[in-house]
Amino acid sequence: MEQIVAPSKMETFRRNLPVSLLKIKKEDLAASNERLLLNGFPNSRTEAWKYSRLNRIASLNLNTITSSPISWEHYSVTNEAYTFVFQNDRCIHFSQDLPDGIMVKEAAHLSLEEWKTLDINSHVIDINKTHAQNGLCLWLRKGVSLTKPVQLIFISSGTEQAAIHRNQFILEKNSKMEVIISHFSIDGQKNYKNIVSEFHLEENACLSVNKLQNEEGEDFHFSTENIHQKNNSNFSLTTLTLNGNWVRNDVNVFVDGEGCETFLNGAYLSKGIQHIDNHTTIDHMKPNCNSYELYKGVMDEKSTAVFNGKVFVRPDAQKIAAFQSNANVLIGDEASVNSKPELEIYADDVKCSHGSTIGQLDEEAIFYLQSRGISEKTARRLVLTAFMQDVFEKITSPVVVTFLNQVLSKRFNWDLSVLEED
Amino acid sequence: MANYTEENLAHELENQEYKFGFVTPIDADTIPIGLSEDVIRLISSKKEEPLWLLEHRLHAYNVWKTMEEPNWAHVKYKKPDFQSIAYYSAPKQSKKYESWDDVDPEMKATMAKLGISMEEQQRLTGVAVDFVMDSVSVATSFKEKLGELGIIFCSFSEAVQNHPDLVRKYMGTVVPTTDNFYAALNNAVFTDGSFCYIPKGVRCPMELSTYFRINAGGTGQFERTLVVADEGSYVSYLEGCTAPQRDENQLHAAVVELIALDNAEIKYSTVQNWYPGDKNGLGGIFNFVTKRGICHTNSKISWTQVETGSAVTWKYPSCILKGDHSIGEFYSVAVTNNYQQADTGTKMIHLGKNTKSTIISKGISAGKSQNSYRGLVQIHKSAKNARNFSQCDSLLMSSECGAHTFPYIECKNSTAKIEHEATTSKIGEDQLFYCKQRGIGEEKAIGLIVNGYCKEVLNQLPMEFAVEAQKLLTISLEGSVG
Repeated sequence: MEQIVAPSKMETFRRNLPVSLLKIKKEDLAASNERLLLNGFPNSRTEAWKYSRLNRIASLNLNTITSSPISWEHYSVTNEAYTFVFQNDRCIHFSQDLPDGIMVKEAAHLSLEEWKTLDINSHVIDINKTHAQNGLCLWLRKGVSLTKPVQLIFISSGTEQAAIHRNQFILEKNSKMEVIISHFSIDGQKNYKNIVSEFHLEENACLSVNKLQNEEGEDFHFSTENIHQKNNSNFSLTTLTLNGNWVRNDVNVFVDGEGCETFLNGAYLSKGIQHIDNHTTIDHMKPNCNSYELYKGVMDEKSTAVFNGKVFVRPDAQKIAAFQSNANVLIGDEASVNSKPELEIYADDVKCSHGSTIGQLDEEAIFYLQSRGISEKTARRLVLTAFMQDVFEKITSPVVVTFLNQVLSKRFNWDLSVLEED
Repeated sequence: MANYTEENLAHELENQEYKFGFVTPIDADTIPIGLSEDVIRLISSKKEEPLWLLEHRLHAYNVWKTMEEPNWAHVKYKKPDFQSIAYYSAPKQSKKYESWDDVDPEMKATMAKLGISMEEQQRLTGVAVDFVMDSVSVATSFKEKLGELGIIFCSFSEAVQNHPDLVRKYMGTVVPTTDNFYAALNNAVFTDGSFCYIPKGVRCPMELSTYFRINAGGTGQFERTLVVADEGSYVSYLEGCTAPQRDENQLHAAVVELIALDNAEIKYSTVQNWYPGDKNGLGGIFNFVTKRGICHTNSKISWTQVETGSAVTWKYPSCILKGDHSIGEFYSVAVTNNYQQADTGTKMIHLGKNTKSTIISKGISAGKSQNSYRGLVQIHKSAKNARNFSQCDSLLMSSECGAHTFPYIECKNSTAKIEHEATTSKIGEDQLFYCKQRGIGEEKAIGLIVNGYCKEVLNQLPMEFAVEAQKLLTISLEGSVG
């Protein structure tokens, strides 16, 4: 239950937001509106928002002004991809040269019947439902395996602009593809981004998603990924939060089939007064599945991070193996972290575990490297890189790895800025 | 206990369900049900309390009226009707007991049945006991011997009369009057409990123990325990609880406060075996307890608990590590069977520099029970070089039970080192197979594995309790295999 702060705040917040251009069921829309009106913004007494205050977001004065299209090419992670680009609330590039077996549509053009919406609510999803402007919807036909990735780029520009989109990916039986979703901003003046993506994996489908968040400035970012998996499907999501003023990621996986595998990986690196919040839920509804979750983060200066990972095992979902791990390194004197790994198990023949650690760089390891003639600066860089490597090496896409290396060397000088002042 | 064999264990298993389910046919002085200011005044006057305490109670009551019952715990139960509980029930006594001989023979028989003997034999084991039945403390042993060392160990009411300064100084300093719904209720209506003060530099030579017993029907038990260990002292404190078998849900809402001043150490062990309700989930005690300790410089508080009873448990023995270099520990085994529900864990609040905490929690769920670990490790800005290690394991014994883990880790200091790990699984088929292959029957093998699983915690218990706890574990899990 989301608690009431002051419903009027929510109304002021939504005042200038255009109504959704998507064809969403009337009763769904009405329900969302009602919940927003009734509950307003959740406050810190609401469990899911305990550590992420929404005051600054609630006081935004959002609008949508048509800005002239920017050149997006240099934001592209790779040219070898089917690329779709959204600037603020509109689509500025829509790839046309698609192979057989794949169908795409702008979300605004989808008919009511074509939406396959999962039943899950939060104030973020409700705002998305009631105000979504566009998004990408994609169908991958039976047995089709894409050789090139699909790339979605979301760029925000301007001041207090709202970018609210809804994506839907449907992977039919035996299909396979890779998706790269990247987020950028041009000097980000308190823009608000709310992207909801739904992924439906049918039998034997295989999907790998890399989500890159590299937004400059003072933007507020909300990403929600809802995933529905059927028998023997394989889903992996890697979230790389490399830059962002205020980021909230919600990942909800419904493992609704046997023999599924789910991989959630995340890396978050923060400086300044950034706030990065990762919430994940893996709901094991059927037996004989495995899930693996690994989130690692490094917090510098006064930044804060939140991790909340929930693993559900429903009654009769036997033979589940679910592993979850969260590790944090605090390198900034005033950095802080809140971690809450949760297990809720209602079946007995399971193997579930979670671990969470918070600590610093191992001074002994650094001393060891120094004793071998390596400078302290390099030693720290090496130890930090080694710490993050666990997550980075799970990235299978070479183009993403290249991109990651570029950002790390540019933004963090590969040493994650520990010794910049030296 | 060396000659306690597995055969003995098997024998006990066959014969026992809840062996403390009897009722002592003793006249009780019970006040009418209901809660109001008048009832509080009545309790206060029955106990001949000073005015400040009555005011304390009334303040707590007024705040309590404005509070809501917490519902964040992972338990489901029918909320108690606070107006249908009798808040005071005392075994009738014609006069104050001057010596052991004055104690009602029925009462003596009860104690004997519960395995508490105040008499000679107990001197050998060297445990000083305070026995609390329903609302009042019945007897306290070894008072004189402890008195020689300056140790005060008596019922809470006696302490209010004889040591009002100490009680007033420390009561409510760890658990504020209005800390939470049940603590506020306790502050308003508490009737008795134990008080213990260890003077500077004294190492208490024996285990101090309180035995809580709910006897009368339709009542609740609201007791307070206050343990103060002055600078450089040491005390080990034990607590045991049982109640008769009844179809109703009785409420037990206690407040326990521990204060460890500089360089002091308190070890607090609980074997909680309130009546858990029958196989169909009927009856049983609601155990809503607030337990908290505060550690000053260089001091240590260690909580050990074995939770096997109660229909619903809601209990988080916590440590506030206020002083530099202080240490908090929490060792817990929580067993739930049939329809029992437990939401238990700890809070470690690190405020001082170089503070350390260890959490070892072992949950075992069987039958249709729900067992949750809920914990908080909080490192404040001031807690430089704080260290925490937590391990929470859950063992699942049946396909209809649940085991849950909700750890909160909040870190605001970059020099802290925190580790948390949790696992949930069932007894390995390979482990069972190995035992069977060596001629150990399934039931016994499970007992063996479960005891091994809990060893880390059981090892922390004083000897007398450890044996009791091991037996209790096996009994609680009887017939849950499969």
